[in-house]
Amino acid sequence: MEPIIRIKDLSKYYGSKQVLHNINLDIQPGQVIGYIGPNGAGKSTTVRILAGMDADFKGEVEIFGLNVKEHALEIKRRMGYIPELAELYEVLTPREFLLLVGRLHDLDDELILQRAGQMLKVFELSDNLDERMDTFSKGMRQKVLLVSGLLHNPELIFMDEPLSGLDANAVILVKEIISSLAEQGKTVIYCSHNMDTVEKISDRIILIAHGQVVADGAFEELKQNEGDSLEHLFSQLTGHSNFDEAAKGFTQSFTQQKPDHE
Amino acid sequence: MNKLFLYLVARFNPLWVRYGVDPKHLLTILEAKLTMDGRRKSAFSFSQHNKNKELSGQDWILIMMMTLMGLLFSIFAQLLVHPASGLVIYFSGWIMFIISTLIVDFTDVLIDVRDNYILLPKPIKDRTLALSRILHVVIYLLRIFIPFNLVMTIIVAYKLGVLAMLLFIVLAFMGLLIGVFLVNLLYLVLIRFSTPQRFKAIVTYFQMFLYTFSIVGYQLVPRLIDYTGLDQQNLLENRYCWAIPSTWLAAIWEWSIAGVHTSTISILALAGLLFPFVALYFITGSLTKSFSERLFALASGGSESQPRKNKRLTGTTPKYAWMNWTARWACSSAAERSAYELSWFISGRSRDFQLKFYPNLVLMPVYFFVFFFFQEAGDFSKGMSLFILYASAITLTSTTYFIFFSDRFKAAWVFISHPINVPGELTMGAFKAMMVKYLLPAYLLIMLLVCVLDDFGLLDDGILAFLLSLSIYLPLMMSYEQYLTFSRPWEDVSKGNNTIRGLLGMLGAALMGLLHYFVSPYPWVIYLAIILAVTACYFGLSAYRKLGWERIRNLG
Repeated sequence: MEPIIRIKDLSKYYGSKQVLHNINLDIQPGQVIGYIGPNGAGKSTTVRILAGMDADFKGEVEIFGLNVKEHALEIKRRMGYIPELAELYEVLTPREFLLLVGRLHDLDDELILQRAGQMLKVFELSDNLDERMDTFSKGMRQKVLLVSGLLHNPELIFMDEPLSGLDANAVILVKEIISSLAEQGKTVIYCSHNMDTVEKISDRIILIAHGQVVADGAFEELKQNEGDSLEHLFSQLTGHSNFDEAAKGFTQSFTQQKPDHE
Repeated sequence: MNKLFLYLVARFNPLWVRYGVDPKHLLTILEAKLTMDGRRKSAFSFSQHNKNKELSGQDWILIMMMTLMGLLFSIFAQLLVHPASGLVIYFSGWIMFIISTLIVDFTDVLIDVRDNYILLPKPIKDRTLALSRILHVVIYLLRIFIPFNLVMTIIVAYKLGVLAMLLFIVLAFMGLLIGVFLVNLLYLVLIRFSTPQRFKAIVTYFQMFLYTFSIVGYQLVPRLIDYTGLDQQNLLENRYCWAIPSTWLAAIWEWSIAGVHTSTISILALAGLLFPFVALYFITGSLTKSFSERLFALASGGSESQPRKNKRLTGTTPKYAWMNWTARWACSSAAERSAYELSWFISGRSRDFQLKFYPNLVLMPVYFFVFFFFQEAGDFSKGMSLFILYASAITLTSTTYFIFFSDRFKAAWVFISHPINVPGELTMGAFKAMMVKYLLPAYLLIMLLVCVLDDFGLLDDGILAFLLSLSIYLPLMMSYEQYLTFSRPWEDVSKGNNTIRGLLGMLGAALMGLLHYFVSPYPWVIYLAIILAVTACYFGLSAYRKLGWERIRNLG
């Protein structure tokens, strides 16, 4: 099967600082990919490159068999992107915002409103369709953001911390939605710091640290012992294991003497 | 109004298609942007628009102000004997007005980094995005275009007929395009040659300058211009004016209406004809592409720039030695000191605070210079010195009111969640910080200048003026609703009878100043009054410091 995403020697620099180091990946369609890594590892940078938002990189990236630099428009038509922060035009209402997003994907207004209505109903936001989003809670905005990323029925979906700000019920719902999307043959690239969720929903986990892929495979393949969790694996592979001592050092600060200069 | 603009844009759909733009996407983006504009908080006001109203009462006031400004420039242009010279002045004013409006009121829209997350991942052509940005700015400016140019259009139509009027409208529109180009160019240069953080800071300082200038400029500029012989000059013959785009526009007028076809006028007119369109091409082409790319760096937190090494912006650096020294001296409790330091940091780093506070701080010194340096020789009197001292003292003291407001007002939870017994200690700490950091130095400078230019015997008068103004302001401040430091949104500045409070303060200061003037020949009365004023201030500050939670209004 042809990979839906093919990344070859991907490198990215910010000024003289290299943040991605020769990343090579092939991603098959219909998979949920857990893309994880510590803060500043390069996850969001990779996603922005794949989503066609940053063309300033070295290497080759192909999505749907198309070069991302040359065919950005075609790729964007078939993919959805849900950013890390709830970036919305808050002074608009969900109806206005989703009409904007849907029309940019060339959907008819009728279809946009029908889909948006149905999706927002699932998220219990039907009654808020005509309220300005600057009055919404973080969770409500996140739900609108999720709907906006999925409205045009994309084949490939990039989700950067999609559960941010959601309550427990909404988290369960979104996890089910992701599984359901995968069942429909869609590919989901899922970035998160929530290891528990990544472990449960991902078919394949890619762990990135310091701009390099340090682990790649199904969780069952990656874990070394039967009782291992992804959290444990994550800390081992990213070089952080002495949490007990660190925690003790933290609490010991209460009992330390005052510094001389105070 | 938005529908009309969108309808007009849609009339050009065949042209947009030929240019490689998707008209459906273009209209969709414009519709959303214009809807947001209608609900956006304007930099000219503290309030936010109602949801369902396109034009609020405040908009009408703004429209009237713009018409008035256009009227002033029109009158000025009419005073010049040579009509094209009048147009040079008029179009210069118009282009400057566009530039300042875009920078002061539209920067946040121009550099809206949310576009990168919402629009960039969507299948939109670069040209569509670029043109939507340009048309958005142009539509925004068209709202200003009509009121500003209304009077001049009527004058031209009345004096020279319909054809001349149409030409004038076209020239004013070309002026608008030039203004848009110059702002885009300025931002591109700033983004290109500075880090994103620096860019934000430069724009903030630029905004502050323009905002201050708009407040005090009308006092200064007319006094600075030497009008001698200006009304007789032909500015089109002035070589220095040839470099100004408004001269090129006036040259088109001179060529077509006055029928002057000399080589100089023809070249200038040609430059005027070509420049806006060449500029437009550059804006939608290379400039916008580079702009978007650089904007992306801005959106991603400026990670392109390297972190500054060995530079710790903490309260322990030498930069804050003065703050630490004065805090130790001025604050009597840990809570007071915390608020003192917080106010010191925020007032120096918060863009929204600086934008609101600095123009008000600068206002008084500028008035001071206006009064002093433009007085005829021998006109200066002790009465005038006392007026300046009292006016400065009361207006400076009243700016401490700004410490209650912030865009990040919700962060004031930090005061609520901590075991603070007397919130007055916090407000007092902030009040002292503003006094030490800004108000005392500003007042001392003014007092020193008054003494140098008038008489050093005014030193005790200056001290008394400040103490009396403070003792008037403190009870006024305590008589109204109290807030925690940086705990209210800026919209609340205009609420709560603050205008009445300001007027009462001015009235009180004027009365004190008058009394001061009458007793000023008797130094012992001044010294006695200083002792009494110190006592009044002491009790006032003590009472303010004891402010309890029952007087504090909840967070915004």
